[in-house]
Amino acid sequence: MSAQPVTGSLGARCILVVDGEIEIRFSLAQHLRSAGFTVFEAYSSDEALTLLGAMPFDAVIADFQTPGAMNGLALADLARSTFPHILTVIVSGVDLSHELERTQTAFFQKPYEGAAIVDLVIKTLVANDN
Amino acid sequence: MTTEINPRSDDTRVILILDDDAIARSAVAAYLRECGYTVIEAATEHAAKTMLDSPKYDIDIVICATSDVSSEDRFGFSRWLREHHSHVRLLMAATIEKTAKLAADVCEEGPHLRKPYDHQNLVAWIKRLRA
Repeated sequence: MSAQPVTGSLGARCILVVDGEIEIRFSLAQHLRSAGFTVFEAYSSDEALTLLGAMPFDAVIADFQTPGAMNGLALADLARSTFPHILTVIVSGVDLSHELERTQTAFFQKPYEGAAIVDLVIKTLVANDN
Repeated sequence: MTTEINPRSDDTRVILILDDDAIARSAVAAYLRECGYTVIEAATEHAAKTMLDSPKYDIDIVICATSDVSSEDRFGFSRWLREHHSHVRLLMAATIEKTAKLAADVCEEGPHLRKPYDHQNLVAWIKRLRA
C-alpha cells in the first residue's frame, strides 16, 4: 500500500535512493514518486556523491552494501556532516538495528515495506518543517 | 515484504535509460517523467538486461546513452536487444546534446504530447549540475 500523496511544499522535496540492485531501487523510488517526491537514483556510493555534490537533497536512503568506494553508512554519515538537516536511512538484508540505534540514521531491514519508508520520510520532513 | 508498484498500472509507456553518467541520466529521466513516461534508470548493461528480462517491466523504449562504452559493446547490446526483445525500440546517443534531442523527440510522442521545456534547457541544466 502506498502512503498518502505528499501535498504542499513537501512535493518539491528531493530524495536520493542509493542501491546497486536496480529492481529494489526502482521499486522504492516509484513508491516515493507516487507519494509526490522528486526522486533521484544512484547505483553506487560514487554516483551518490556526484549527485550530492550537484544538488541539495532532503533525504538519502542507501543500501548498506551499496557498490562503490564507501558503504551506505559511511555515505549517510558524510551526507549528514555536509547537510546537518538531511534525513538518512539505511536499508540492509542484515539486521543492523543495534549498530544504528544510537545514531541519527533510521534503519529498515530488507525486505521492507516501501510504504513504511515513505511514511517515515513524510513524518520526518513534516517535523523538520515545524 | 516489499510491496510492488506495477509500472504498467495504466497505459503509461515505459522507457529504460542506460547511462553510466549519473547526472545526465538523472536529468534526462526527470525530463521524460515530466513527459508522462515511467522511466527506469540503469547505470550498467547488466542492470538494463535484468529489467528487460523481467516479466514485470514491459519496456517500450531503451535509450542507450552510455558514453564510455566502446562501439563494439554498444553493438553487442544492440544485437542482444534485437535477439531477445525485438519489440523494444532502441535509441542510441553518444553525446548529451544528442541524448537530450532524442528525449525531446520521444517526449513529443508521449502521453502528454508536448515537451515540458526545450531540450536545450535540459542540456544547460546538465551542464550547470556538472559545474
